[in-house]
Amino acid sequence: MSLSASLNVALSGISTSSDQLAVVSRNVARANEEGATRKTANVSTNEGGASRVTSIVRLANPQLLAAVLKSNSDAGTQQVIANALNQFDLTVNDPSLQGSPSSLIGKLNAALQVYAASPQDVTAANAAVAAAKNLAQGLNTASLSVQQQRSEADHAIGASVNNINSLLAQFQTLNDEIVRGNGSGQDVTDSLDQRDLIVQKLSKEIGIRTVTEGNKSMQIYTDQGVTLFNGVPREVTFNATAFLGPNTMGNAVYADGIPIVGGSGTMISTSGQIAGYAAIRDSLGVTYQNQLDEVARGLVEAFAETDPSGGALPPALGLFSWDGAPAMPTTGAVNKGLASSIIVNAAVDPSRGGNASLLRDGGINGTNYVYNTNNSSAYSDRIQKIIDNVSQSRSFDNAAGIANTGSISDFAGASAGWLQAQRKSASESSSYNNILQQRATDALSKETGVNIDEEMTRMLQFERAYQASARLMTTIDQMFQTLLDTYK
Amino acid sequence: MGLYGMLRTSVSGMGAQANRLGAISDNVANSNTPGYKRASVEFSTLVLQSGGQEYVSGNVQSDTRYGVSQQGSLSYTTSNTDLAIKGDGFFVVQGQNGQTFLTRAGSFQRDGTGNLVNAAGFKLMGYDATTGTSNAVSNGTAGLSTVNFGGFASLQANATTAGKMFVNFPSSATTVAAGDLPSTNSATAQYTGKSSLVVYDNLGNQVTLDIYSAKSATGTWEMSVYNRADADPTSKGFPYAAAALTTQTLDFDTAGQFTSSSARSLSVAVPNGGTMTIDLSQSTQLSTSYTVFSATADGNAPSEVDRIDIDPAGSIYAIFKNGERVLAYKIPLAKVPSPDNLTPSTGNVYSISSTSGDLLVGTPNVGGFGSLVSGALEQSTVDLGSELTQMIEAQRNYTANSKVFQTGSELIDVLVNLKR
Repeated sequence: MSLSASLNVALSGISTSSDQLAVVSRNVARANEEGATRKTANVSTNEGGASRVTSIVRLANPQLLAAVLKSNSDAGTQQVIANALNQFDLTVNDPSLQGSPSSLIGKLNAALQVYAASPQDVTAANAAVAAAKNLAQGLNTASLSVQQQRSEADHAIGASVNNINSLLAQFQTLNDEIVRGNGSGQDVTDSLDQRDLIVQKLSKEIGIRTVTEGNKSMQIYTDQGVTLFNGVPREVTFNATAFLGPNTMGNAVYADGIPIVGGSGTMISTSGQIAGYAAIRDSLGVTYQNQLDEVARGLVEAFAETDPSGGALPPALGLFSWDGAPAMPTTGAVNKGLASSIIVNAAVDPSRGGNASLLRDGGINGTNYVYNTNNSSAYSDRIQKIIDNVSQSRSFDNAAGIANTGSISDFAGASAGWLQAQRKSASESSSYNNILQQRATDALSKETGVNIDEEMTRMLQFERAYQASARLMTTIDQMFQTLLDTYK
Repeated sequence: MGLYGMLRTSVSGMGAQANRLGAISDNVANSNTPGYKRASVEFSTLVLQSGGQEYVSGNVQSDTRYGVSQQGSLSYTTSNTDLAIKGDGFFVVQGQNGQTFLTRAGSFQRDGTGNLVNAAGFKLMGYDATTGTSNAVSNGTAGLSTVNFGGFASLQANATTAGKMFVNFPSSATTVAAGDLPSTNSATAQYTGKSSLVVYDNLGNQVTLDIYSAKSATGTWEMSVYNRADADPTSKGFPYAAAALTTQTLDFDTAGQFTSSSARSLSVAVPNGGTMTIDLSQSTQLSTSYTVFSATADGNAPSEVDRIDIDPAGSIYAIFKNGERVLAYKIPLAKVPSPDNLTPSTGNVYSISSTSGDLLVGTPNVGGFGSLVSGALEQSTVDLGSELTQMIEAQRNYTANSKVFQTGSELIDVLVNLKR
C-alpha cells in the first residue's frame, strides 16, 4: 500500500473516532433527559481499508413503548376517577361535619321523635324544621358539588382536547422532519426521541395505538381504532358547556368525524385522562346525582300531605317543597335536579314567616289538609305518621344504581356505601396502574436509556483508537520526511 | 558521425527525462485534485540504421500515458451531491460551450440556476425521469439533458393513485341491518369501524375519505367510502350530501381470511382527482377489536423541494418539504473500451479519441458499470511517495544524459583543437 493511501486510511480513522466520540458526548449530555435514548454510530469499512460512520442509530423498543403508552392511559383514567371521587367524598361525606345526607336524615328523624314526644313544645317544632332545613341544604350542597365536579370534568375534557390538538400539531412537525430526513439519509434519531416523548404525552390524555411505516412515518389511532394522525392530524373537536346542571349531559368529543369520548357510538375510547373525565361527567356523576335526587324525592313524598279524611284529595307538598311546586315530583322515577332545588316549605319555615306547628297539624296546603281538626296542642298522630313514612320501605328508580327498595335512610346509607366502594376501587386501581406505569417506564428507560458507565468505557475505546490513528499519521509523516531528506 | 550522434542522443534523453519530470510535477501538483488520474511517461527507442561496423546512436522517444482506468480511493464528505464512482464509468458532463465530456470529478454543487456543477464548472447530465428514459440510447449522449432543479416546480403536486389499508374486522361485531348499512347514507346508518385516509386531488388539495366498515352478515363486510367534505355539518357524518364514492363487499372464510372470490381492494374515484386503488389484501376478520394495521396513500400537496438524494443506481430523488420522495433524474454512466486512451482536457474531463473506442452509456450498477457513492469524492490516484522517488530517478537520468552531452562536447573540443 502506498504512503498516500495509508495516510488517507489513517485520516479516516481519526474522523471515525471523533464522530463516534461526538455520539458518546451526545449520549452523556442527554443522560438525564426524559425520553433520551442511547445512540450508537454504525461504522463500515470501504475498499482501501478506510472506515467511516455510515449512520447513527438509536436503541428503541417498540413493544416496551407500547406497554408504556397503555399503562400511561390506564393510569391516567384511574387517577382522574379516583381524584374526583375523593372530592365527592370530601364535600359530601365529610365525617367531621356530619353533613352527609344519611346523617342529616338521622338528625331530622331524632328531632321529629322529640317533637312527637312533646307536640305542644314550639322549640321542638322549630328544631325539627331547622333539622329539615339542614337536610335540604345538605342535599343542595351535595348536588351542587356533584354538578361542579361534572362541570370541572367537562372543562378538563376541553383542556385535554386542546392539549391533544397541540400535541398532534407538534407530532406532525416532527413526523415530517423524520420522513424527510429518513428519505435523504440524515440522522433523525433526536427527532425520533422527541416524537416518542410526544406520543407518551398523548397517551396520558387518551388511549392510543401507533403504527410505524417503512419510511419511519408514524400513524396514531385511538384504542378503539379511530384515526388521530395519518400523514396529517385529524382535528379533535369539543364544545365545552359553561355549567352542567343535573339535566344537562355535556357534549361528545369528536375526532375524524365520529364521537370518541363522552357520547354514544361504536368507537368510544375507554382509557386516558379524557375517558376518566368523561366517566365522571357522564356516568359516575350522573349516578350519584340520581341517588341524591332519589333521596330528595323520598323525603318530599314521605312528608307530603294526603287527604286527612282518606278521601280523594291528591297528595300535596308537605314539609319539603321544590322548584316544581305546587306539583308533586313524578313518582317512581328520578326527578333530575330535585336534590338541588329541595327546600323547606315557606309555610312551615318560621324564618320566612311560616308556622312550624303546621308540621304537627297539617294544613300547609289549605284547610282541606288539616289533620288536627280539634286544634289540640297534644296532637302527635301526624308527626308519628311522618316518622313512620320516613322509616317505611319504598321503591327507588334503578337509574340510581343501588338497591331499589328500602327506607330513605337505608337508601342514603347505601348511596354513601356505593360512593365509598367506587372510591376504594378507583383508588386501588389507580395505585395499581401507577405502579404498572412506573414499571413500564423504568423498563423502557433501562432498555433504551443511556448508561454513563458504558459511555465512559466507550469513550476510552475511541480515545485509544484516535491515538493509534494519530500515531500512524506521525509515522507516515516521518516516512515522507525521510524521502524528502534525500534531497540535500 | 559518432560524436554528433552522441550529442543528439543525449539531448533526446534529456528531453525525455524533462518530459517525465513534467508529468511528475503535474502529478504532484494535482495530488489532491478529486478525479485526477496520474500521468506517466513511457519511453521507447528510435533506432537509426547502423551500417557495417559503425554504431549510429539512435534516440529515445517519450510517450505520455494517463492511468484513466485506475480507481482512486474514496474520501467521504458531508455534501450528498458529492459523487464518486466505484468501478468503471464516467459521468457525462456538459462544458461551457455545450459540448459533452466524460469525467470522474464528482464534486457537484447546486448553482444559482439549479444545475449540478462540479469544481471545474462542468454541468452534470442525466435523463429527466418525468419524461422517462425511453429516448435513451446506449451508444451516444442523445436524450441526456443537464440535471436541473430550478424548473422542478411543475412536479410538485401529485394526485393520489394508490393506497393501502390493512384492517382487522372484529368477527364478533354486531350485524348491521341492511337498511342501516353505511352504503344507504341514511341518518341512522350504523357501522362497526371508521377510518379516514387523506388523499390528494389533481390540484394537490387534501381530500379526506371517510371509510366505513360494517358487518352485513356473518363473514361479510361492507366498506363504503365517502368524501368528508360532504358530511352533515351537525352530525359530522351521516347523511352525506352525496352518495358513497364506492361501496365494496368483502367475504371472509371461517379462518378469518379472504375467500378466494372476495374482492381485495377498493377503487375510489377521488373527487377532482384520479382513480385510486386501496389495497386491502392483508385484512383479516379475527376475534379482536377493529384495528388498523397500516393505512397509507401516495400523492402530495404542492410543496417545495427541500433537498435531493442520490442512490447508488444513479437515481436522483427530490425530497419535498412534506417528506415525499419523487424520482427526478436518472444519472447514466458512460464508458469506452479503452479509457486510458481518452484525450484529457482542462478540468479533469476527457473526450473520445480515435483510439479510445466508442462510447457506451448505461445505468450505474448494471452490466459492468460502476456504482455511484453519494457523499464521497474519488481522490487523485497520485501517490506522493512514488512520485518523489521517480523524480529522483528522473533527475539522476537527466544528469547522466547531460554528462554524455558534456563528454561529446569535450571530445569535439579535443577534435577541433587538433589543428592549431
